[in-house]
Amino acid sequence: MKRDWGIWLLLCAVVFGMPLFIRSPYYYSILIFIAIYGIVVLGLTLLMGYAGQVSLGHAGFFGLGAYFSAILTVHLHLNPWPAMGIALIATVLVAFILGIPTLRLRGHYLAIATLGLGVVLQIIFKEELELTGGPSGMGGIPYFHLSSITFSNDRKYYFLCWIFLIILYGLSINLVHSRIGRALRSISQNQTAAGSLGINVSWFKLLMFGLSAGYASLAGSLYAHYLTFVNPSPFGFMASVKFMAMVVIGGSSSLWGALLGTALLTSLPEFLAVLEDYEMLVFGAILILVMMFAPKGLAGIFSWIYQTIRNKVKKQDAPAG
Amino acid sequence: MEWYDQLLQYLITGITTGAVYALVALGFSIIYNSTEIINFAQGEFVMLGSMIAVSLFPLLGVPLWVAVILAVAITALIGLIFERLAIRPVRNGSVINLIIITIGGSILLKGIAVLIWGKESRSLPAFTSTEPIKFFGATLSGQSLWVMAGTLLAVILLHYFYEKTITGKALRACAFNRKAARLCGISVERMVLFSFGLSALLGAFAGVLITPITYTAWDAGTMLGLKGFCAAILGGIGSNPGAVMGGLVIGIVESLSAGYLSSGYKDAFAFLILLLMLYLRPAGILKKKLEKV
Amino acid sequence: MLRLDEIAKSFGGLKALDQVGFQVQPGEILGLIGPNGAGKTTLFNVISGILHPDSGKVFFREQNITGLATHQIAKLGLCRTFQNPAIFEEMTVLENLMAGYHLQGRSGFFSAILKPPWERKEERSIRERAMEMLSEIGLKGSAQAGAGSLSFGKMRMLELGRALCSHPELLLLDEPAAGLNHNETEELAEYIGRLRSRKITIIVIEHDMSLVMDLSDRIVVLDQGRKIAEGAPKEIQRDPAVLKAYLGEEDWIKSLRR
Repeated sequence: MKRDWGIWLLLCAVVFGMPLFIRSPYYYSILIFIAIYGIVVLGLTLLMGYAGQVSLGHAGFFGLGAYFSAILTVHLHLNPWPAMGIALIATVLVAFILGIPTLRLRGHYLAIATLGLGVVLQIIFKEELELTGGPSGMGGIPYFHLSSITFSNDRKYYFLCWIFLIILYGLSINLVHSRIGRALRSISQNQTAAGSLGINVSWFKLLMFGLSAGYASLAGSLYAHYLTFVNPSPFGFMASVKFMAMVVIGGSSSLWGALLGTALLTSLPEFLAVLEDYEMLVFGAILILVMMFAPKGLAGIFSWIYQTIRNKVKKQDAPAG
Repeated sequence: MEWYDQLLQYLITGITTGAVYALVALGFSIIYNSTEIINFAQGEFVMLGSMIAVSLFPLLGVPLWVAVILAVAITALIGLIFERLAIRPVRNGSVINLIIITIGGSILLKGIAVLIWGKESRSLPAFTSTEPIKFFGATLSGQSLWVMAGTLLAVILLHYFYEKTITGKALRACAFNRKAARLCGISVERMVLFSFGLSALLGAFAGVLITPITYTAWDAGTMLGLKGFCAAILGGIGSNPGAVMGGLVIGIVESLSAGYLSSGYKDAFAFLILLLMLYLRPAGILKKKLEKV
Repeated sequence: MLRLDEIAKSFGGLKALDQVGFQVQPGEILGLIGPNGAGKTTLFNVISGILHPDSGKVFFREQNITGLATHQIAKLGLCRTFQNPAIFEEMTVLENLMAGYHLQGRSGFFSAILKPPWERKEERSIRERAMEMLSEIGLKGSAQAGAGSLSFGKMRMLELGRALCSHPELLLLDEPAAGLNHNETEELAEYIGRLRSRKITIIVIEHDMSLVMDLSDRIVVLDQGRKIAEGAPKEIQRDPAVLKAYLGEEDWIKSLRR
């Protein structure tokens, strides 16, 4: 727990120190996307790493958040903040309705259901022309305001997104180290034994599913009010796969690993852009290679390095002492 | 056209696409049975089959049927290589990790396809230049007939293979109980390898059959793969007759809903059926019971 | 305390339980014995809600619990252990016990993420009680060790301790002595004996006959899914039906007659 809060503090320091070093809006925008995707991935990590469930449709919840925010502010002229809240509640509700019947089943039925939901949602975004603007999208989404501050430039938005991420990260750390966190970890290790201790297995899975959908919805709202424009293409199956890949490459049972995975996979395409046509090839290869050689992801590699160094230091200390 | 002619026309279209979904679903089912992996690269096998046929045909100047057979064979080989390089080294890993590897494989294969063939869509000529057949008020194109006949042939051969050959029986034994199969001297590794080859072969076959009707491109496999997956779940994953049924049901529902309800939502119906299915009969249309938590 | 009415359960064509019925009195230790495949563990699974019977009813404290989910039954005060200790291997020993206190805790989702003072207090008290339980089961030294690194005997004790954390009124123990050495078995027997004084009702499946004969107030014998005998240990040792069921298992007969 102490280590988690240590990493949290380190992250705070980096977030608030970063603006001293960067000037270019290009870097700000990459960092903003890392924060937005990071929020989705935090939720997904709680679901995959702690509750042991796979979702192949989180881009759908991400899109729901974005579109609810967009529709409520553009068509109904709502203030972005309450719109974000309504989007959150509505998305979590959708997740609950989808989750209740499937979570009772063993196996990967949740993954299958989320995959279906994700695809259906993207088609709805494409087809409901009057509401969503169809494939060409909808613009004119207002910026967030806070009294006299308008979050319109990249620098301000950078702080807004990262503060959201830091808060959600903190709440997630609390959750993991609580009675519920313990229940979740026991479920992922032995469902039957967890049940025999009075832990309501399907309720906790459902709770995590709803929570992760909520995180994705918040991220979606942040996304919509940043670009002030949404279209269906970033909310498809491939996006869901990328979110899942971020969790897995980072290391699915650690929150900070997930953030690391997000940072890597979000900035990687920027570097890979040089490769142009090779981008997909490299992305696919990375996914396979990480799964083959580091199934616990980056977090696993770092833990291993940390342990090795610590053991070496201990060995060196031993003869001296 | 009278309403019944129209209905008939929709049914013909539905059965044609449904047959292709059925072949893809069979591929999912075969791999699931031997490994419990859901192979998300299944759609890419379809794409590879058709793309390879498209480029071999004019390139080598061979007759179309030679190009088709070569394309199917090459794709089957790619399936085998995929298993050897990416699946076998981690065969003891968790199922989630293996599924992610197949997703990585799917992205990788798409990347390779973009490199080789670029991003434009391509097509094959119809297998035979038969005149469309008037069938009551509807028309049945020559290629539709090829698709239906090809699928039927594949299903019959597969059935024969599972029932009559040693390898087929060994595959069934693996699906039933892997440990027991191993104790009986069946090499489970070989069966897994074989199942990847077989489902790549079926996928590629589906690809070459449908390409003269629908065109193909580097990303054509994704949707086909997902629909085939819906079909496999609908039929109860792991059941071969179920996969065929599921494919036909999805093809027909899709075609009817596109005709009568909304063409824009055509792609959504397969998934709506899938969701409905999970609510009502999670074990698939042909199975009866499923263990609950 | 517990009443079973004509429980039946089959798997395919095999009748694992065939019209099994008996009662357990409050505060009693009931031994459940029978040859391998007699249906003992299946019966435990039915009582604890992991399996649902094809027919028949389970009453716990006069309440019909047939068909309830495992966690609901646990909440009513019925906890169990498993044949292979079902501990959470990737958690520490202390965390395993703290998970056992799940039902004692009140903190929900919002208090978990916001950690108000009362939640911290509750966590502290759960941690303290878990530490007490650790010393009670003799594992105090391994609090921070990974549960997966314990010896088999200690895993069994940990699982038993974890089950006790939920303050059960009825405890089902599935072969608690299997895989234990002589000393560990004696410690276990003594510990179970102490539980009797705490008014915990216990049903124990056990193959170690001397252990089960010493501990139990009464014994129920299952064979091929049917109850073939019920009574005090002395009567069971002489029961011809029981001896017949164990025919061919010489060691068992010896241990029965001892």
